[in-house]
Amino acid sequence: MMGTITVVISDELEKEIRKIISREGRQRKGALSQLVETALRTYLETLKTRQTTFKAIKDGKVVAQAENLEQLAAQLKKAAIDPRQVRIIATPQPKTRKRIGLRGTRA
Amino acid sequence: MIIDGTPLLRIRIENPFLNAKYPQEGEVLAMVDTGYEGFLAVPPDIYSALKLDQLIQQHGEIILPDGRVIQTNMAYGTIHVAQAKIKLDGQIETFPQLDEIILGQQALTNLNITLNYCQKHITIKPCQQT
Repeated sequence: MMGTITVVISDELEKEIRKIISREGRQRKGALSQLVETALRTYLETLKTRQTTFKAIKDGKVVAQAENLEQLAAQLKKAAIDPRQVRIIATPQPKTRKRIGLRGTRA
Repeated sequence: MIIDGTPLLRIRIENPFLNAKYPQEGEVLAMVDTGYEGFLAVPPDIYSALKLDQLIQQHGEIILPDGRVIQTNMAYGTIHVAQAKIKLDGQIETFPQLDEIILGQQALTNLNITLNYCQKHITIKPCQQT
């Protein structure tokens, strides 16, 4: 199944897109649709990777879960759980080993 | 703003779990360091002022440009970037002798920052507005 949507974009962007399609020798029918689909999929993936879930874990159990720390803190408060007693994790988990720039060398 | 060639952003840092913030009033300058892969690094005294040391600590490692590895303490916290009207959550870490607030790639991922070295100012917007 293929959906059809009509969108309005600036002349400048349209020219740029058509130039890219032409340059890459993809003038065949459907090349523009393919490019738009790829661009939208890439954008959606970018949004997904930006979404983080935070969890509070106590005694191995998830006691609260939220999309931001403010909400997580509110849930813990509502449940009368001391935040000092929970381990907070994020998904996706950030790196634990990181590089730092030259400013860090001063330490 | 850009001072002595260094890009700086005004931020406020918060520990939403223990209602602590730094600074108590106004904002503090954080150095933008695209070479730092983390979210935010703060000196130990600021880490304590935010009561982040009272939360269960996570431990990480920082690799310095000269290859040395330093152990860090980390806890989750929030930064407010008033200029961009955005709040960001992430791991705030500290290690001994760090004397600056360093804003790294994990925070910058959410921002569109333009450095204007001609007029020595920074334009900052959340990614959604780009």
